[in-house]
Amino acid sequence: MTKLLRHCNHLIFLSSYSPILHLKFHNLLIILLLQIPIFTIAQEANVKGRILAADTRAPVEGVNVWVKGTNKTDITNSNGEYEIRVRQSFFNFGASMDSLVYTHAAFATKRMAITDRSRIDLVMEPLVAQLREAVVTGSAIGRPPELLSYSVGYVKGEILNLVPSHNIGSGLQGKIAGVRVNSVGGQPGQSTFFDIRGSISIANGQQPLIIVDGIYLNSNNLTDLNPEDIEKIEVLKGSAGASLYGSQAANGVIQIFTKRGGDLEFDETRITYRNEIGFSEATKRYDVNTFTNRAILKPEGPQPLLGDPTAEDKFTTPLPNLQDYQESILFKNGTFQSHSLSIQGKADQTNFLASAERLRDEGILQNNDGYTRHAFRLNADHRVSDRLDLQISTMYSASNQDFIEPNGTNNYIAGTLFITPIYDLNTVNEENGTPYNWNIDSTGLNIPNPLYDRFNTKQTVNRTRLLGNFTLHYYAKDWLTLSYDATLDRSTNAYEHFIEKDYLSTTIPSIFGAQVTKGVQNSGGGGIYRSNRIGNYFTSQVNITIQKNFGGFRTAVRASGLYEDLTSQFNSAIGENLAVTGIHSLDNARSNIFISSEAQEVVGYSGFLIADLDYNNKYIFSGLFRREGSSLFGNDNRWTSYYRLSGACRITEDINLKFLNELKLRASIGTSGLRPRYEQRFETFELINGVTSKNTLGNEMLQPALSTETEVGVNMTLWKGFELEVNYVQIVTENQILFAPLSGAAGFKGQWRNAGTVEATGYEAALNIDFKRLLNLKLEGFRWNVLTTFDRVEQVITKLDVPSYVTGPGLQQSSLFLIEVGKPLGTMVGEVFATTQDELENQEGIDPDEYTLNSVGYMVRKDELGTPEERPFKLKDANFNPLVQPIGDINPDFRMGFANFIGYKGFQIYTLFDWKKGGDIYNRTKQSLYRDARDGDVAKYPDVSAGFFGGEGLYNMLVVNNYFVEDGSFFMLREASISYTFTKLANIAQSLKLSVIGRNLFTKTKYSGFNPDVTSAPRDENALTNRYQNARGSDLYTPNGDPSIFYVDSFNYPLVRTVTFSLQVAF
Amino acid sequence: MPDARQGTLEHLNTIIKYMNAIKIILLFLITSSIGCKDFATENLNNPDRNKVLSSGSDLMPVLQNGYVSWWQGVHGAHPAIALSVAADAYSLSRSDFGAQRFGFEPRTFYNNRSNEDPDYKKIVAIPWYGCLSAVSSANDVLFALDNGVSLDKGGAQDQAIRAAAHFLRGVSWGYIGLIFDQGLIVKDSTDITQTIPFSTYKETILAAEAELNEAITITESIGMNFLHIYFNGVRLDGNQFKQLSHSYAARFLAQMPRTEAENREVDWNKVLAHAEKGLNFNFAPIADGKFWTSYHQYVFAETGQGPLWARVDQRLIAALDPNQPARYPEVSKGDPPLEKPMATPIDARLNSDFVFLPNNNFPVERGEWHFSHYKHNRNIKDITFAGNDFSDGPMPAFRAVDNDLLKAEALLRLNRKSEAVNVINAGTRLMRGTLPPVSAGASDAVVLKAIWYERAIELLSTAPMSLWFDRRRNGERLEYDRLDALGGLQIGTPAHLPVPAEELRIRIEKPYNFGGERDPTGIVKF
Repeated sequence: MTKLLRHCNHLIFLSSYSPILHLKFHNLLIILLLQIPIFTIAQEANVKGRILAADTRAPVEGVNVWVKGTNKTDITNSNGEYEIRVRQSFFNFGASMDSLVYTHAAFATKRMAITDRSRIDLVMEPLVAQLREAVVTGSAIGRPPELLSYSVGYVKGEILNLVPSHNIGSGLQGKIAGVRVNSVGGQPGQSTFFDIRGSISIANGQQPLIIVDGIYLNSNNLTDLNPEDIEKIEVLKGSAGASLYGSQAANGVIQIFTKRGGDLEFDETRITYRNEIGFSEATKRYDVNTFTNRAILKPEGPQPLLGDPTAEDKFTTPLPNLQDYQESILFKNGTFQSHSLSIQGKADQTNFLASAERLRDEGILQNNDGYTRHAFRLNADHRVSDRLDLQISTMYSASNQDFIEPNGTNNYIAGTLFITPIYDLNTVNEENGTPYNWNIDSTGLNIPNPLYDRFNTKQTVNRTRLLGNFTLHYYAKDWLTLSYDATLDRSTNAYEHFIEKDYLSTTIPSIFGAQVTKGVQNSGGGGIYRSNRIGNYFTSQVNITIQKNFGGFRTAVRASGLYEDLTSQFNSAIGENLAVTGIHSLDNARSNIFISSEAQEVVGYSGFLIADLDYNNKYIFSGLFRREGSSLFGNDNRWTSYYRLSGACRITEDINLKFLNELKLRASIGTSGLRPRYEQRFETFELINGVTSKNTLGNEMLQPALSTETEVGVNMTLWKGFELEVNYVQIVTENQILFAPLSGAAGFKGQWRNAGTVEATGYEAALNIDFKRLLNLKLEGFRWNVLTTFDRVEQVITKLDVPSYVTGPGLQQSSLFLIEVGKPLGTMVGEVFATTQDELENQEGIDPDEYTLNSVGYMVRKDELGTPEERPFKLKDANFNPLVQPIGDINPDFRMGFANFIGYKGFQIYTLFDWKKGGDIYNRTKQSLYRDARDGDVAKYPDVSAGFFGGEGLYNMLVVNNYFVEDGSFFMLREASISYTFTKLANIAQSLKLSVIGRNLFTKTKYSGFNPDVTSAPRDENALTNRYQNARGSDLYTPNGDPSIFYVDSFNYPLVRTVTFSLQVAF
Repeated sequence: MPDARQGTLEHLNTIIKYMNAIKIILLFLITSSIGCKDFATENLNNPDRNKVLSSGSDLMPVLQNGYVSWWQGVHGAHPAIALSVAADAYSLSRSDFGAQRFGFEPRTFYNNRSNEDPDYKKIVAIPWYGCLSAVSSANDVLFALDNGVSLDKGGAQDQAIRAAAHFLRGVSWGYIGLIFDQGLIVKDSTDITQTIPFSTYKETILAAEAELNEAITITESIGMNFLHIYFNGVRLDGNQFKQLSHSYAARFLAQMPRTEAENREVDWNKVLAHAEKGLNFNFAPIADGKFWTSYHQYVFAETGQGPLWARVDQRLIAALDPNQPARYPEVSKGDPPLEKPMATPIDARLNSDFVFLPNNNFPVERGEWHFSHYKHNRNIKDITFAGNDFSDGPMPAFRAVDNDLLKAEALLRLNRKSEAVNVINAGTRLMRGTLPPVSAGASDAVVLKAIWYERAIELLSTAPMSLWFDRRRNGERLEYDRLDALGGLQIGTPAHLPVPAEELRIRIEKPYNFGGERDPTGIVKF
């Protein structure tokens, strides 16, 4: 009978997905019904079930099943099955009386409420995986960190959510050794850029592969994701760990996992609502010049008048009618608020997470709406049968952003700092009576009224993102699992730049032509530019996994086949000379109409075999081989191979020292690649509006760059509470994809070739101190952890098969960075103003004794000191050309992060300090402001005349020079929070957490700009890299720029300090 | 036997269960593999050589693109505006187009470096790469024609394309010879994988003349069936095309010299022969706002708030009115201020071609020598002269009067003064300027001055950089504070430009410069 019943239950289960069994089911139902009287009479019920191991899905024998509080027990048989009698009324649903406890020496104990069930099937987690959560990135089946033979960075969602960053990327800064996050500034919705284990790619950027719930992302923009959804983040920092991901992995792999309700108790539903509200502000004001070197002709407002420079030409006269534009028109305290609601649940066969979020961040600029995001997620796992699992992850988000150029001289910040702060900017236009007199500047500098520009131009970015993953696991045998994954990342990005009709200006906004200005060539003025980009990244992957344990060996082997299809379409249109006011339609444009499009399609196939092996948890080995083909590689070089070999030894498995809990030595060597960009292998003729011209010569031999990383490391745990990881890595990245320019005679501009090598050496350390365990404190409810990260990377270009060259972000800085053998990536070159007498020794034609240091610290002629002729001395070469030599290096000496968590019961304090030591920034903001002496610096030297700072002086006609290279060191309190969690809220809620949260609260730095945590933005609103000649990112050598190297501060949206209050309720 | 039956049933169920799972997986594998694509993805954005030049009908578009390259390389804002500022034709204190640094007084050298301001680098890069790119297109077409790509199997259409390709090579080399100290002569037979030696500017210009002669010869062989439609808005018949070829040949030969001495060595017989067969119409392609644009629109630009860009250099105002100084007084350096900003209209063109502006809008800190009260706006009263828009209107590149003045100069140099005087007196001097005729008995110097005057005033804002080409061969180099209106370049003005640093870098050669203190003549490289 028992067996029959089991059989019956089996069929009931099958019937849920197999309609063909329904007939038989009806017959058997009768038998089932016969059982009922027995239950009802006895007021007791039989509960049966089957226990499977979570990792292998093999039945677990010998699980002790115990009805809590009684002496009733059962032990699972070789099929993992058990049966036990419990008190229960079958007709009294929900009146649970008992709970079952499952224990096994090798598995984590589980407890289950019985409620109204007669069958409880369970999956039990092996204890080894309980040591810590398994790391799955880069391994065959997922292993706990103790059993990995390479280094993996790891952050849990709870830590990220102490101070949730609205961009997940910036939340990683300081938390993982070797992972650096570069930010362009604090504009809400601005994406961040990674630099993992230093820069190893000369031309194609340092951005890692990012995977979210198995979904390969086609752009590194993580702003679309809701940080509340994050369960954990794993980071493979280089080829030694990431070889599994082949040609996309040399810059590392970041894998993000979102919550799925899997860690809930059965039948538990958890509803969490979180609200955060506060304000954001600029961390500082730019120091502007409030003095003038000119005569004051008319001191009173609203339009004071300055005359010619005085004979002295020094900044000694206070500006008349002085205004503080940064206060009055630029910055504000913007509100920040987010609401997120998540529901997680877990039932017999299913667990899920559903979440919704609304984020509104006004940012810190006046007259700017900031950023709004809505994000929705539904993750669900369903156990279709003992052997079949289904996992679905979906996310949709939509955002809109009132956009300003994140940096550059065309944005609102630049416009505000450029204009001499003496005018009442609210005066109306004398031309047509409209607000904000556009040409209020009477200094002859023709700086447009920033308010006029702000109200007549508007840029918006609307994004949507859809992520989807469908995964099936089929546990064919205890030792054999088949799985299939299909993923999609679809993103759309709509950008609009609108300039109102009747626009008056003497400068032309970027992208547009002269007719955007009213009156030029009889134009009515105004213009509109629109672009739309749609990206799809589809992957399809089949895995066969074999796990076998024998004689102390535990092995896992996975073979996979991956198909990738990446497509993108970009369309843009631009027109000027608008016909009607306020209409944002392209049809509104009357002249200079251009249309453009771009499309990409990338197809890739790859297969890999990975084997993970350990002997008694002591000796660990992992090996993999990957073969990959992609349409991005040249026709004649279509396939490449990658491998990894790594091993580790856990010494503490053999020796037994009380204070030494863990000592693991490991070594790993692996290869991975950097893909060419789409257009790099093709022979191309530029095609613009129907006219072709020769562009690049094709290269059918083009390969991905090959990076080989050797990593050795130690993991150590002392006195239980002192965990240290140290890594030393060497990375050699050969076959760099570089642009080899061709002689004008060839007609083609150049060819992309594999032509260089970068070698890097890195040191990393992560120290996690759990003081409670270390000091063996007995204080209940107390916790104190300090997590310290350290990294230092040095890299150098060791081979270059193209002539050395200069590159940089965009037009004005395109010759700032030197690419030359023997130099690190990130070396700045420029002209040099002498600061010591020694520098003058070898200068031909001058007598060093005739020179002296002036108060700014630069060598000037003694006889010109203090006169209007005073100029800094620029070093010359033998040809009397200004000497161009290295003037800076972006690479810091090291970076460190200090995270500190102190808690007592419901109370918790968290801080994260971020320290960057060394590393230069080029301060283009300052140089641009020197043009018209608008920087506060100049007035600090009342004895120095204007000419010293001007075109023939430090401003140097915007040509890069040593004066504007600044040390970018900083020490920053990046994150802080104080929170209290109430848990005894009997009937209202499970818990209630109140927090005060601060971001970027405090920065100590000598850097003179807004903030030293700054880099240049790549530009992706434009199509092909060289389609718009003057577009930022149009640099031939480094398409789209490289925010991990190009540390140039040019009127960047400043970093934002936020202080918020948060309330989180769980039901 | 119930157990056996049970076992069979379980077994069967297991198979059924597996079957379902396997079916699901297979279904996915099949559906996903149907969607799988081949590696052979194509470039979806840009064509390659095979697509661009695969049939006879592609020959003309490819050649047309070459013409666009040449046009943009020579007639755009780079280098025309900066070199016109260097020639004291226009004045512009702004750094746009690299102009400001060509206007410094005293003059500075052209700093030929990779790490310069992009606007400044474009002054050499645009003409160099533009012209070489044009030659490359012409070579592709000639190569294709020689290898069987054809419109009419070697008939009149193929020959017309061939002539147009030779013309394109001719004008491209011609401008490289005029602008740079050396050039690259690349033919369709040249092996471009080897480093090609530089040719001197004289060799380059002689090669240009030979190409133009070749174009003329081929055109003559076709006869009536010739048509040239590669210039936007300009259709040339065989006769007009020959005239244009002759005129360009005359221009290149005549404007080639870098100094007064070299000017005397010009083969003026050749110049005369070409000029006599040269243009009798004004050659001016029509702007389309996209590819066919020119520096003119920047010079003529109006914002309703006064001129946005260049003004006419004070030196030309002095040419129009001898009572005006040739350099704007630097009041801050103690000179007396300009007494009368408005010039006296001796030449009628002062009123018709120029606009008086009472105020200066250049910042005084950048040097008062940039100041000028005049702007050239001949387009306003003469819409056939030039448009005022990027998107329409003629862009004067070779006026008939230019050809006439070359002829007059050649006649004068060949000691045929009276004929030269006749040419001048029949031209714009009287017709547009209403100036007195040059007397038949005037000295050579007077006749020459009349020619220079017409070239400076009448040809202003026509052929790009014309005054720079003329000033370098006319008279001594002058100190900036001792300028005369129609004399030579200022001391230290680069009189030709170096090969772009970028090109030299690829050849692993050192960049070099011209002009400034170290090279007062502007032609000795250092």
